[in-house]
Amino acid sequence: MDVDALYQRHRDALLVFLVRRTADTEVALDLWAETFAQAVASRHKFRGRTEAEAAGWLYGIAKRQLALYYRRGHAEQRALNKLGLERPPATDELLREVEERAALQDLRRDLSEALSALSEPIRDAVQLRIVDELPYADVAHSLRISEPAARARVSRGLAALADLLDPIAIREATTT
Amino acid sequence: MNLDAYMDDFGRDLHRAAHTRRSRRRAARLLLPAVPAGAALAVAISALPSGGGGVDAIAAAREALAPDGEIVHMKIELRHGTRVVMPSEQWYAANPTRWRTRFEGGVIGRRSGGNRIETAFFKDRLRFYDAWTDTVTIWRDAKLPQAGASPSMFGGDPATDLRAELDKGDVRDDGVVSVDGRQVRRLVREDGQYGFKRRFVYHVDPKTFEPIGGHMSFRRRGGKFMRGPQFKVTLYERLPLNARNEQLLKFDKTLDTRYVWR
Repeated sequence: MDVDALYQRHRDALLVFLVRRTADTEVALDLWAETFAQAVASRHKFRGRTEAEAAGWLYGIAKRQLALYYRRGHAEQRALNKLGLERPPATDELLREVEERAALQDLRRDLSEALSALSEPIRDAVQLRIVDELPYADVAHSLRISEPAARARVSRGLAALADLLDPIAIREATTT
Repeated sequence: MNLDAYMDDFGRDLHRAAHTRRSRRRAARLLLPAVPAGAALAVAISALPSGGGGVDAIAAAREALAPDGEIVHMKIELRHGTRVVMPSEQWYAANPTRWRTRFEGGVIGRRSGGNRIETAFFKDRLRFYDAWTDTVTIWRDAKLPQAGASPSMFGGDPATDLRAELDKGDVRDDGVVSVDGRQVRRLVREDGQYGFKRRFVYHVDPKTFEPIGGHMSFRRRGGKFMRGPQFKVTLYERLPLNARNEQLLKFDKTLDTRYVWR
């Protein structure tokens, strides 16, 4: 498995995939870095031979990371720690560039329309965090709940909206 | 830095990690602290009062570790991978500087039969207490062991080492980042040591500047990377400085405790 080649082929598309699944550029960058770190750490387990199989394997790792994020409310950093890697901090300018590449503004618009399907506590949390772009601390303060609880509600909400997000993300992942 | 350059940078780190994993693990094992007490003394001495300064975040982080008129009580777990190598507990007061650090349990504690080891500093004297032999060894200032005799890398006393790292100056404020789902302020200090570029990363609460955790890493010449120990602050509290709490800065001795002067 040539991890360098895999990284070069999928680094942009995978980031877009994750941004559009989380609607949070910082979280998406954490998941993106952890996914590639997992790929490096477990590359000896890959049994495929083709580029398509390698892509499927990589996105499988990314989806597992996403599932963990939806469940726990924060991105894992196990492989990054294991390898001694650290995702460099992102400037505001860089986060804006990530948002533009992922067309996150459009997604936020779509999300705000789909929010009505959620229960009120979950909808409020997703609305404040994703649509209004408030930090988690402010979301927690507004809803009078703890910050971990606010994270959990947002990630549960996003998981419930996966029907909306999935087709976009999968299309982008498979057209690269 | 634009996104392409950002991704190029991370790609280079990933490439290095992919090609150096085995040697990094072997070397990292060698860097595990072998004798906590000796390392604790060396690290502790390096933290005696010194100058320093920097941007506000760094000053605030230092202030959180050594406030006036209060005792800082911290519990810190030193980890290597998933193992807790050495849990420590420290009580610290400033002006004049005095502190007590207790090590007990963890991987190293189990190796030494669960022994409790304590170090304390006050009135220009460093004291070392071994509960197994119930002996206090006291170093007078003229005979203090030389600082830096062992690698400065949380070898024995993470709390004292934190203050030492911040006091050395040249600390960079990386701003607020997300770590394990929590917003933290990242302070970084880099220097050269023993042929390695050493990187000390310290995470503090972005509002209160209370310590959260961090890690040490090393980069060999040629860019090969090794992860050093990590530490996590499991308890941070400030206690009022009064006669009762002042006792926390001293050892729990027995009537049979022996004293050895060096």
